[in-house]
Amino acid sequence: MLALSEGKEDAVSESNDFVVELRSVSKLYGDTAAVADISLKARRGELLCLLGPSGCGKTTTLRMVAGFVEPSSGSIHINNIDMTHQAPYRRDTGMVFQSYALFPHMTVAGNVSFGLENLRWPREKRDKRVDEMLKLVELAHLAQRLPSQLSGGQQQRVALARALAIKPAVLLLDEPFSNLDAQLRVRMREELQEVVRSVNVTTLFVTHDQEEALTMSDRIVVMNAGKVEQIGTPGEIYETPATPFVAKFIGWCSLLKGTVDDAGAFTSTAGLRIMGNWSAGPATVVIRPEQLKLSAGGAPGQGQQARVLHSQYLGGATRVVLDVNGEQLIMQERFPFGRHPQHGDVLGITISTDNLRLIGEA
Amino acid sequence: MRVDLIDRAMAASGAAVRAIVYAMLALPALLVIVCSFTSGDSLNFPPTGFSMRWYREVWQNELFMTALWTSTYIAVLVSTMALAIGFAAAFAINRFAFLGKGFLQALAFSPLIIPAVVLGIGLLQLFAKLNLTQTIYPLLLGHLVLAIPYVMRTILASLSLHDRVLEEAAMNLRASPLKVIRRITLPLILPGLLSAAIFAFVTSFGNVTVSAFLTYGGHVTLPVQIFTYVDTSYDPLVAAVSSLMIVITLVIILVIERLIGAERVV
Repeated sequence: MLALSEGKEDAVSESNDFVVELRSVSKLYGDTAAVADISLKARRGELLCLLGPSGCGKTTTLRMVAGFVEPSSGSIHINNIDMTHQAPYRRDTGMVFQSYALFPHMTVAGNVSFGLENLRWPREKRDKRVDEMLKLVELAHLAQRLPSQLSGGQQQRVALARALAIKPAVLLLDEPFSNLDAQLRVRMREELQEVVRSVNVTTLFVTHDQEEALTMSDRIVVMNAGKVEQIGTPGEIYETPATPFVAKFIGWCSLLKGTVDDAGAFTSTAGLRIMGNWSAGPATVVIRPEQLKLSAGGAPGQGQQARVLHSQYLGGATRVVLDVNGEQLIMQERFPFGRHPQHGDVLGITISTDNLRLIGEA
Repeated sequence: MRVDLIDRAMAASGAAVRAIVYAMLALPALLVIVCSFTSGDSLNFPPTGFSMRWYREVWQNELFMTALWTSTYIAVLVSTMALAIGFAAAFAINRFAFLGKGFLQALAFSPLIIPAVVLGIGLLQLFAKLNLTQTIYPLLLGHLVLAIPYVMRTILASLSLHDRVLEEAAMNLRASPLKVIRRITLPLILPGLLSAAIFAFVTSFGNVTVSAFLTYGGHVTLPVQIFTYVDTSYDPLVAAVSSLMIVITLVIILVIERLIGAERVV
């Protein structure tokens, strides 16, 4: 496999060359909107992830790009050509299905070759491409096997090879890891990322797994209830969530509702004060577990008083739910051996205001 | 202890019922086959002696041989046509929502409900009106009407078990709808298609009631011919002809089952 080329990410973020573009796309089923007014653009070579809970419309969005679902309104463009009402087989997409959907009556090579046959590639060129693709996913030795004789991970690689063989303008991945066990999932994630990078194909990737989204994507589209909540790089999504939903969905956090006074300090509804320099008005503050620190050894009397409500030992650290001035905050900290906090303990903590994120009332 | 006893009694009576059912199903055919090898002049059980005499008689009997040929080619034609029509109808019912879908389905299955005699008389009158009684078409169309419900039912079952995502995958790989049907749908429901073909063949090949109304001079099917023959004479010739029918039907079923089996392995 080819290595990831250095500096590619900068090239991607600067490019304005959009391979896939959705303009105000909606899909209604009766009166309910599965997808409501979504607009997004995928740059050439970019790995764009659609992330959201089940039923948020991310798979419907992907299926609209593939052409299996027709939008109720809006338009879909692939390589700047309007494909909104074009049949699936006239669109330049390659899809890896959640169930892989390998043809059970064809060999591995037959599966990979199928798309090339439809594109009327001459036999020699076809065989060469099949060989090349199977080498890329390291399955050349299994070319004559039937899908039923392969493991889940191998089937997934065949599905990927089959989708990439036809050199699609955009690769579509629908929850490709959900049928694999946890360990294999991490390995396949790395493999898939490597393959996708090496062929430098624009990729739309659907998942409900935030870790998958954070580790694999160039940019993430966070979706909820058929709408886009935020589009941004993994860093932007995690560190500057645009909405309470995004903050809650990506990683652990505590959300405090309250107001910012004229002095720029935030006071939560329960009365917890956090000094800052924000503009006045109602607001929600997002506190990540790592922004809570034990003050000077964690002894009570230092910093804010915090009472332990629950504590969960995670091995490398302990996740603690604290009551601070009537607000529940989540902290993750490595406590010294033998000194794990118990329910009812009182700790002294400080809230780091560096990078503390405030979400204005929408 | 008691539960054990009841269990055993149930198992034993279950086995007995199964044995009786199988015997009832197989014995008449076996009896006919055994009798067909008699060397005597009358149809008796047990047969007197063993000979191929009556098979030779059948071979030389032009009436029966013509009827056998008629039955065979009508059954083959009917299976082919029923398969084509039945697949098209089943596909439409399985895939699309359209006006009159329920009606179409009920209509296609109605020959299963209407008594065969009524169907035979009805078809005879219809073809008389159309002035087609002296042709092969009544027999062909009559059998087609009988075979289509079985074919449709079998193919509908296959289609509803068929994974549609595979078709989406094929379309995504640039296969046109026709190509998807040819390369993905049909090969994957082949076992269903073949058993539908068996149903159609057997339905046509063995039918008496409807055929009796629709045969004419040159085109008498074998079951009708046997029926007519038994009316006037009762010699081992019918046993030999019937045995031939049983063998042909069995061979067709076995060959097709082999094909399905082979397809599954490959």
